[in-house]
Amino acid sequence: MEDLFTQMGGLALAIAGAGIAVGLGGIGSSIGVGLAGQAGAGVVTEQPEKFGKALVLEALPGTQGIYGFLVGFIVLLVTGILTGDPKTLTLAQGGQLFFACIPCGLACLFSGIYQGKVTAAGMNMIAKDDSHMGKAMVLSAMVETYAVLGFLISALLVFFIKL
Amino acid sequence: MSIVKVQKIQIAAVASHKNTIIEVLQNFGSLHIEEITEQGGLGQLSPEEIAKIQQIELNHANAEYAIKILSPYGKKRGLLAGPITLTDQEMEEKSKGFDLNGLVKQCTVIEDSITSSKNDLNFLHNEKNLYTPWKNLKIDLCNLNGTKYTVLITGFIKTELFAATKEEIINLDRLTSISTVQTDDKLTYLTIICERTAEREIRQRLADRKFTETELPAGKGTIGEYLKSVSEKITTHSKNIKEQEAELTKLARQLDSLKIKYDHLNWQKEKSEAQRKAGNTTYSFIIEAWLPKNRVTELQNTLESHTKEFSIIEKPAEENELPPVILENKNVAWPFETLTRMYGLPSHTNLDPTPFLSVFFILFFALCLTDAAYGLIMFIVMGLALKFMTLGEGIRRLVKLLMYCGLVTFFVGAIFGGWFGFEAKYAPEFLTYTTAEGEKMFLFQQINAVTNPLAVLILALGLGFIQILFGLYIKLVHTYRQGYKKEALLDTAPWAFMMTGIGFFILGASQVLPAPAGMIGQWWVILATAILILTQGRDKKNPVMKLVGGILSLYGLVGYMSDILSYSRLLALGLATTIIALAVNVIVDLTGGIPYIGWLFAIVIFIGGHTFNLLINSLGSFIHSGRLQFVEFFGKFFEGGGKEFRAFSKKNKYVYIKNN
Repeated sequence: MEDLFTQMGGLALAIAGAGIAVGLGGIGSSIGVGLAGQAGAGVVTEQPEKFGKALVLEALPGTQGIYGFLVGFIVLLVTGILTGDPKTLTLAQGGQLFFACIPCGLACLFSGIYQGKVTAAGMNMIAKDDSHMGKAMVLSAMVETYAVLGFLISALLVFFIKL
Repeated sequence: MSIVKVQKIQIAAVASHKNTIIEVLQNFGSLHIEEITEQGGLGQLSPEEIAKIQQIELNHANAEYAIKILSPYGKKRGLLAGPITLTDQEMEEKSKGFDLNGLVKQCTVIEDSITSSKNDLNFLHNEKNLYTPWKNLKIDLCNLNGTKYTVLITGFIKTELFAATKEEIINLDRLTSISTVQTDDKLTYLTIICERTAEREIRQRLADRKFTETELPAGKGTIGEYLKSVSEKITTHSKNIKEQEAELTKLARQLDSLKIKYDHLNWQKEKSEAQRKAGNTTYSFIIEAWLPKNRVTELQNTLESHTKEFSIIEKPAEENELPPVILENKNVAWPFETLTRMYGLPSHTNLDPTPFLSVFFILFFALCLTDAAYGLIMFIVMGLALKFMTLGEGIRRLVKLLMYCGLVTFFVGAIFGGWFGFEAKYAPEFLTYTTAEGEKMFLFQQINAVTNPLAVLILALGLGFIQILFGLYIKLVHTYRQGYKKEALLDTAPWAFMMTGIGFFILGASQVLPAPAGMIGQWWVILATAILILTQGRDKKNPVMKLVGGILSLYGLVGYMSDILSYSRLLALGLATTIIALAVNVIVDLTGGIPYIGWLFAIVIFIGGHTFNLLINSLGSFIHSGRLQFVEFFGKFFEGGGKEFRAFSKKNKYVYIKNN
């Protein structure tokens, strides 16, 4: 096992971290946007004129995927993979980057799913009366807070880990 | 900049002037009419009036129906053309000559025809699918019932089971004839002629093999002929649908006039609702309504110019009666009403939070977006929309708000050095300068959020602290002014004192203020703690419980802390914009390296990527900045639950009335 890690080196761990952030965030958002989209399609079938509003609501649980992507992107940036000149990382450094990605990944995974559920419920609100759009958006944004916090910690960690 | 003071009035007048007065009130457009219930001993409308109202409602519903039917066939109005714009008189004239009933009748006939054709088509397509495999059957359909001694069974079976089944049945009764009409990989269609005596046994065997019986249509001629007639009917019905749709397209040319008529009917419907709400006696009627206090005399004068036979009395509001709420914000503060309305109107005793939230909202929005170029684009696009498009009130308010947001984002973005996410070290020399620490920055840039996020975090939390403190002081002043002096001085004031002290302490401890400030802050906080412990448990009877209650109230500090930490989202969202922009630029850079056509991809990705970033992040900025107002700020002082002032006026859905 130890051999395996030594051979892979720190960079592989860092890449795995980026994968976790992007992957989990993406899963969270996919499920969330999916849930919201299904509810939205229902609204639009009955009232096609509400398509614009339904689309904006549907986009709300999509931010988790973006946060995950950003953390992954910063990892690529600080490790120099993007510039085509990757740094040699020690196992410890790679591990640090790996763990730094976890807060964002996990927070985005769950927050994306639950934001999707709240947004789907919000679709019912606009189905009944689209002047409630703002309220539906704010209710949904409450869930996003925790993805924002997870992203913040991951981003700060990745930026400030000494390489 | 506040909630408008409203006055309840009662208008009493002679019944013969009812129509005129209601018309005048509608044109006046500033009355919120309350319903007068029967318990007051006032009668209902006369049967003629009710019939008239019902006629209006019927027409209104009909017009709505016709619009719904015709809309998919009408031409869409261009974005720049805006809604139909008319004056009051033009509206009256245009709707007068419009034959609504004729149009509705035509629409109903056409819709019925289309629906019945569609139903028939469904049925016919089913028939066609069902019987097409039988098209080679040569027997005349009228001979399918069998004879005195024989029975004819038609149906299909899985092809793989056919051979075995056939053998089994023939073995059962040698006189049975089985012939295949059509066969493919999956299914085999067959006719079976057998003796009536053997029928039960054979059917039993067939059922075991999952044979499905098909009942062929009754009639004359072969099945081929029947299918041909089905196809012909399909053509006729499809043609009919096309023709009827063409007819609808023709009718849809009247859509604009129809919409005008609809809005005109809307006015009448509003009027009839006002009539319903009024109280009636044999010779007079009474209307109860709210209106802005400063317009009572104006109303009196307006009515007098039409008739003198009426009286207006100012009535005090009854107990438990909630006056409706009107917000009034002039000029710059007006667009921010969008946010207040989003949350819900303040209760009538509360104050209008619009001016208070405006500065914070726009600043937080800018901090979330932090890109000067994005801000500028937003400002220009919204400005153009405002200038060249005719927009409804709500949308105009939002667009104007976004225009302001764009402007502030431009300045804040310049301070943060956000220009499409470009990095200063690659920018041309004359646009940048080098700081004392040796970091390269854009002109006007003071701080780099990517290399120094801690400073931005402190800024965000600091702004949050200020906003929450501000909210506390608003509550203090407002409750005191409302006459709840005890609550203001014993509940809100100690907390405001505490939070101010904490602010002082932090500023002192972090050496922003000279050293003694920290010392003063420390004692200040200790004093505030003591005051809180002494005041917050005062509801309890037992002195020990008073003390415990006081100490437990300090737990409130955790609430304030979590509120303030919530403002860290400003940093996170700001970083998100910057980094997405950076990612777009990196991809642009990579594709730009592709020989010959790279630049083309680069341009497309640059425009598309930054547009996406602008859209998704301004949406996020709007929602999160709004949330900070609604949850963290409003929580400190605001009570919602106000009843909206619904003015009795000429409301339009489609037509935009220009003032003449």
